[in-house]
Amino acid sequence: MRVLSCLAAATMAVSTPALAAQQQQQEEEPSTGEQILRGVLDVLSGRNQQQQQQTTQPTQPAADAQAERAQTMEEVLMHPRRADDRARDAWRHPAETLAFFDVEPGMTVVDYMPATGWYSRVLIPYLGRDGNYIGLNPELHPDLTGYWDMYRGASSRIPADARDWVGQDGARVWGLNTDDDLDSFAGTADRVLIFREMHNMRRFGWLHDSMLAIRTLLKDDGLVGVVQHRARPDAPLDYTLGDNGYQRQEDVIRLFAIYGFELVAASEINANPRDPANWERGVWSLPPSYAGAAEGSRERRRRADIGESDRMTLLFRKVD
Amino acid sequence: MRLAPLFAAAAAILAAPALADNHGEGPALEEVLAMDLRSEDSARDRYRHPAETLRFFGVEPSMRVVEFGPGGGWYTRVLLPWIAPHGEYMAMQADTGPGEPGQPSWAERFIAASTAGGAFDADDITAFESDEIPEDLLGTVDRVLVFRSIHGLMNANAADRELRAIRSLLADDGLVGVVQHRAPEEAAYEYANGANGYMRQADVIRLFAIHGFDLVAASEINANPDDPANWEGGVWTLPPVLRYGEEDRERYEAIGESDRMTLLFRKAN
Repeated sequence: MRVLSCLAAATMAVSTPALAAQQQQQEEEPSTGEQILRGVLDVLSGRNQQQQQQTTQPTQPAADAQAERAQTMEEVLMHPRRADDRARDAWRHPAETLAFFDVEPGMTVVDYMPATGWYSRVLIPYLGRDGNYIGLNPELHPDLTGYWDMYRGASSRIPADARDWVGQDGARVWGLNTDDDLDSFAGTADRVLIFREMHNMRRFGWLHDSMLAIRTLLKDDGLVGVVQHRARPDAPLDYTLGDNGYQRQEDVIRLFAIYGFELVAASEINANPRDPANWERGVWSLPPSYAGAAEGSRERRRRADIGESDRMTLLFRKVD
Repeated sequence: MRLAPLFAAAAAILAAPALADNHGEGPALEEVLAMDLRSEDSARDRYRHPAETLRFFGVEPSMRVVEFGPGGGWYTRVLLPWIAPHGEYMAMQADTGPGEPGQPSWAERFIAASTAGGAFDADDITAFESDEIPEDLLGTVDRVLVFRSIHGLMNANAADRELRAIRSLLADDGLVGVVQHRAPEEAAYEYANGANGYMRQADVIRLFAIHGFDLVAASEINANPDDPANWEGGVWTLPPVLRYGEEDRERYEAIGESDRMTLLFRKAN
């Protein structure tokens, strides 16, 4: 059985009345800290200026009203901009996953390595005008070039990318690399989400600095949501160090424990029991990459039937 | 209780007949510990327990032994004269990155420093950085010894890389011995994350588990129950560093060196 016994406890923790009440309070009245943060963020982004300019210009009230209204998850997922993204919803379960991570409109959410923005196109509109979306990239070793260049200069690149992804819709967008000055963002994040990057954090030496940055950014009662390719519990260690994408669930939990996080809940939302999770060429053997299986081949059809990888879905909280 | 339950299993391994003395022409460990070249080092024996620690790690002088991060060479001056006559002593340093052109490498500096007094022969020392492990050593090493280096690896964002390197060196039946400043299990992450030198024993065991090592045994040889292990100035408050100089020096000297875990791991799977 793969589901952890703490699942029941987790469900309780997530639905605990105290947490819900606290959230409600936050929605009704931002704390002083949040108000200050928003002021700081406004100055940093020049949004004050933008807003002032907007108010002095004639606007379309109808369009404004629509932009102000928070979009439901269903509206977000059905938006035309996601026409190409939607094929993967069957494997990535964005609505269920974000609900499990207890992500709510208006929150400040850190998305670790947004890459080409699949989850950004869900999160930014869903968090809405009151929310903040922070794309966090690691510090890149000078040897990592070419493909990796897109992860450099996040403070300018991610907001620019976001305009291509979602226009002006939704949350304010920030970009950070872990070696940027994080002071003005410290303790502001309600959630940090790490979608299938644990193996890269390990194999490229980003783990330590990223975990420290995540701890810095997270509020004391913030949560970290992790989706990660899952190796079988008895997979050989040489297979699970990171180079094949798959990680043992127990190792991910250990890793978070070392950095002062405890497991709140584990979910099977993103499980795929048909994945043997032992591909010689790693997780990239499966869709959407199909490494080593030529287009039109029988092998490719076989892998299409298996689908995307087996994945763990874990929620952690910060402990002392 | 701090001792792991597998202590009994460890004791069984350590008492194996293979460990019987068979040193031939080389000095016995006790003879090495009494050598003149250790006259300044031996004051720390009461805290570092070299004989007990090396026995617990099952180190034999006929083995191929890698000392990880030898630093100022305190343990080098025990291991090298003991092992060189029959086995092989090697020193590995965490990858120090690209060196300065024209400057000697870490390995060259280590060998020069170790042989400076004339007691040791450079031919007896193999030294390399973890990114330059000689190919023919992979999978051949009997013991890797890591003395008080884990916090440094954490602080330098190097634990993942270096534990991979250690694993790649180790023979299938090889073992890793670790001594590390120990924080209380209930210490806050903010204190025990490595920045203060101290780490929680459970976290060190997790770190090795993630990188493919099973705990074989834990020992209290290097424990110091008098150390509260919560100094604001970190482990460097205590001897031998005594970072506050004369201030409260007597108190720190009465406590002695830090509380330490002593752990033995084997390569899993």
